[in-house]
Amino acid sequence: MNPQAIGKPLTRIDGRAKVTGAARYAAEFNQPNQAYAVIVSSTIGLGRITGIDPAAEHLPGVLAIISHLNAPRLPYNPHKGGIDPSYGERLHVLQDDQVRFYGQPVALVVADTLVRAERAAAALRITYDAQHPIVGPRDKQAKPIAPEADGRLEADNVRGDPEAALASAAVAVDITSDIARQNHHPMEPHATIAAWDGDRLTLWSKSQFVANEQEEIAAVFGMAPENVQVICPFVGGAFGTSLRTWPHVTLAALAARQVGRPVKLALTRRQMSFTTGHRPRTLQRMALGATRDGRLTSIIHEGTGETSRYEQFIESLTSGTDFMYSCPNVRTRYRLVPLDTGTPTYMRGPGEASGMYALETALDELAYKLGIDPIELRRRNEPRIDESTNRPFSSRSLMACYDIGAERFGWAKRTPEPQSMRDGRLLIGMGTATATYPAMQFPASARARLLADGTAEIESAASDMGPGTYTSMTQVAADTLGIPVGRVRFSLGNSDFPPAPPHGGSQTMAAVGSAIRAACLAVQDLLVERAAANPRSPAHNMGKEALEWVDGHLRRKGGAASGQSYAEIVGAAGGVPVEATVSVARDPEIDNKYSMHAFGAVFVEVSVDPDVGIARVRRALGAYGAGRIVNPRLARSQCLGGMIGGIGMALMEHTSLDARDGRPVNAHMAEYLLPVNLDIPDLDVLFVDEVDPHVNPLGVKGLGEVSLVGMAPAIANAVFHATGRRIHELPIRIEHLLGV
Amino acid sequence: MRYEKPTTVEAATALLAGQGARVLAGGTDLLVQMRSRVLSPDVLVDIKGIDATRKITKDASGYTIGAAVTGAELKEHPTLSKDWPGLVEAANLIGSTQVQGRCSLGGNLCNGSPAADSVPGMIAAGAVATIAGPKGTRTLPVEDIMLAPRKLALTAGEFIVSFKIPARPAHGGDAYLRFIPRTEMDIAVVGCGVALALDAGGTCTAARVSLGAVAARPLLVEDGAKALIGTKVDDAALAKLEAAVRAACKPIDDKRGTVEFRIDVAGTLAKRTAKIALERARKV
Ligand SMILES: Cc1cc2nc3c(=O)[nH]c(=O)nc-3n(C[C@H](O)[C@H](O)[C@H](O)COP(=O)(O)OP(=O)(O)OC[C@H]3O[C@@H](n4cnc5c(N)ncnc54)[C@H](O)[C@@H]3O)c2cc1C
Repeated sequence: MNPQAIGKPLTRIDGRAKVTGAARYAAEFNQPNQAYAVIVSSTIGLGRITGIDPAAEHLPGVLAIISHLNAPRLPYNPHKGGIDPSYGERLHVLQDDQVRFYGQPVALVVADTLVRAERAAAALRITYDAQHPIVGPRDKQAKPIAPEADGRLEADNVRGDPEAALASAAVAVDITSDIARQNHHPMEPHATIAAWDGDRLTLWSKSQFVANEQEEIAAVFGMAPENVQVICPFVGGAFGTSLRTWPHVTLAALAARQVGRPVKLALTRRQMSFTTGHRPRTLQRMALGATRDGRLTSIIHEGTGETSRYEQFIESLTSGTDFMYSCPNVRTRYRLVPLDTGTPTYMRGPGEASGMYALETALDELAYKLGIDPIELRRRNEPRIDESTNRPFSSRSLMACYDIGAERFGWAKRTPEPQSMRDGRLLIGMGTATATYPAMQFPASARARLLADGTAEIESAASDMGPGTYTSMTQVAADTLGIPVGRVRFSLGNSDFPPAPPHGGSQTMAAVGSAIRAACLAVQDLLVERAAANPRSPAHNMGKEALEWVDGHLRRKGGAASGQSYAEIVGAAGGVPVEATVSVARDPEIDNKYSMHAFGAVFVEVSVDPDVGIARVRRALGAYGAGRIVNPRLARSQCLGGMIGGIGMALMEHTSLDARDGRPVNAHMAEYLLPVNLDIPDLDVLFVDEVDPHVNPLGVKGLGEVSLVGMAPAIANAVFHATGRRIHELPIRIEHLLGV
Repeated sequence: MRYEKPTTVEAATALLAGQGARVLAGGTDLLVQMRSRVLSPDVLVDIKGIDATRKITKDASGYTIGAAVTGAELKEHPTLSKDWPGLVEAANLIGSTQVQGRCSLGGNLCNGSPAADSVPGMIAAGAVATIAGPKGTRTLPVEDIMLAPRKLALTAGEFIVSFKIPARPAHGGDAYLRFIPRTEMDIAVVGCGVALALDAGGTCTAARVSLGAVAARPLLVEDGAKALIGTKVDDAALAKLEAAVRAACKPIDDKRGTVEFRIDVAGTLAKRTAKIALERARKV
């Protein structure tokens, strides 16, 4: 491959469609004769429905009011996609009178217009027998449990004797932290348009994982998956909330079947806080022991995450701790607290974002106790191999990230003492932290089709929620085929395409990119066969070994002639397009041989106004080692987004629940605070030139999650440096900093 | 639901006297509340067809600002920002550019939120509302209009036509600051308006201090004004102002801020606001 497009800062191929409104999102695929469904959400946090007054049925335009009283029993066949919790059973909607959490769908109103559906939904009177829900992991009645073994995640690891090592450590820190529940709140709300044609169902539905949505809905309705098609060419942000298929998709399909018309169902912003997952609140203990010269002798990480009563949502809260630093005595333990809430789900940087907060703030505290620079402390504990598995890293550029990051950020100007830096009346602080996220790669497939005009069509049921999948995949296909990007058309977001893994876990580039590369290579092989079979072709009767592809032309190896173009080869065989569909999975041996992760070093400068206790990020820099960077412009943009997410996590985001009934009290954008433009300072992104020959043939690791992970601890560490006050709760609020 | 757009004050008061009628100005509060079903009026009386609600006039006694004049229009007025910069800044803090094209002083006040940004600005400036009702017209100082959250001193059929803002004193200045956790687009946790006048020697001769979001209604803090009047607004006077403001706060704990924090921040904010008002008064 002769990279022409890969590595180039191309602008988004779909950018024009997005800014002109030509890009169509799920809720925009309006169908003829479409009706509208509105979910009625429970107003109690636990209990049962005792009655539903049918009077609203007679309001104008109402086509159906569906509840457990009249809903058909759905098969809900077993199905667990790669993103569903492996233990427990998904929420069944409108199947019984039980209310398991506040905001659970309890009825569905379908009407001929949205306004009429909303009016009838508001008029619907539902009575309940309410019980008191337990919604906080610190509630005395909340009981932690050990998660059922699920194979996806190794929690409860131990090496050495960490308790003894901690007890005898020359220097120790032992901290607890509490990170708030967060909701994803992307710009585009969840929406589904469902249309039945006999036994076939089409769903235009916001999804990061159309292949799973197809299978899940097929299982819920007891259908063959091939009778369900899910279409989602564009996603207006998701951050993980559209990985699973949530109840509203079932409800849209159910409503459409009941009223015999296509039905559109969009969640309100409020409902986005109820049934579509959230980052679980976590409670953590992190204890570190070290020698006087800063070698770690003990790490104990005990993490607890909230989950629902009906499913065990597990995230990699403690995973980073297992291998991040060199230490002979390490114990990690993970517990769940089942609560009367909906099931949490993956949210950008799941697990690591929260777990690394505990590790990196503890390490910062240790640095102060030891009087060692925080970067130097990390350097002294940099492992040579992954000590939890005794495998080498496929590549690890953490120290290179610290080196280039510290240099560009101006870390040397930091004076180590807390409260030692000022700008007028403002206290200034600088903090740093490590970021990491595993380099995953699930099996993926893609189809490449060469047309008679010499252009290529590439298809995969992948998703582009914003990182630039459309563009980067086009770059991979163009370079593999040796043609300009303008001759490649890449389509995604359709379950009729070859299946792709969830658009999450920072693996789209690795998984789908590898599949596209393989499909392009496979189609080239087919073209070689065609050319060889053609008596008029210069490649007639020649084997693959004697031929080579150069700039989109097939020619004799070392030959002088320019060879045959794609158009010529396809054209010579009557113009019938040539296509290949290929599935690619990572060689399982690679997983056994290497520990594979992206790493980063994050630097933050904050100011704290001591009079009013407000902390603001003044500038931040992330330096990442994430393998090959396919498109530096989009990679930078993706990192900026992750860093902004980290600012939100550190200083603003918090879904606050009313302890009486579990109601999210800030289920709207006026009070669920996200960073706005003025909150975002000067952000900088650097990439280490990292070559990873092992991780996958493209040498890519992914950036979506790692760019969020280190931000919150770096901010908290900077706040400590500015104020001398260590805050163990996220988000850091003004109340925490008054009187510094 | 009915929508009406009367062109006279009389027609409007007649409509408003009816059951379930509600004034519509910019709609940036009302429409949001209707969407979320907090309010479901039967009749919407759009007052923007009434000339007096939509214009700003100036004479020797000061300004008359129509209750439905938008934030953007306040800013564009050729002299208002020079005379009452604090008031205009307070009104311009409301929302975003889009919201500024619709939001009004009347709506901000009559929505009945203790955190409304322009209200402490108006109270500090000494604004008086002109209220029309079925029985005629009356006037009421802005600080007497809101009684409690969502509760106003207006009676059935009444609405605010305009606000009278006095002429700026020879050496007068005003300012408004709010404190929000985020940098923009947020609801005040504390708001503070200060207007003051100096004599030729720089001694404060008159002052008005107002606070938002720290009690069930926007406050006029008389003791805050007393702390400044007769002084050169020096550090000692500012310390007294801070104490008076803290004493006046009766906030609640809520998800945006605790009691201690609001009281603490209010004192600091009042000092900062007074300093800006002082600078402005010295410059004119
Ligand atoms: C995105 C967004 C951001 C916002 N940010 C802020 C902010 O930062 N600070 C802030 O203070 N507010 C903010 N608001 C709230 C709102 O914009 C303001 O309160 C605005 O001033 C309301 O004015 P309006 O003309 O739109 O009022 P409307 O919505 O038309 O009316 C509000 C209420 O007052 C009544 N009313 C209106 N005019 C009169 C009158 N002349 N006489 C009697 N009753 C009347 C109405 O019946 C209604 O009950 C924001 C709103 C939005 C949507």
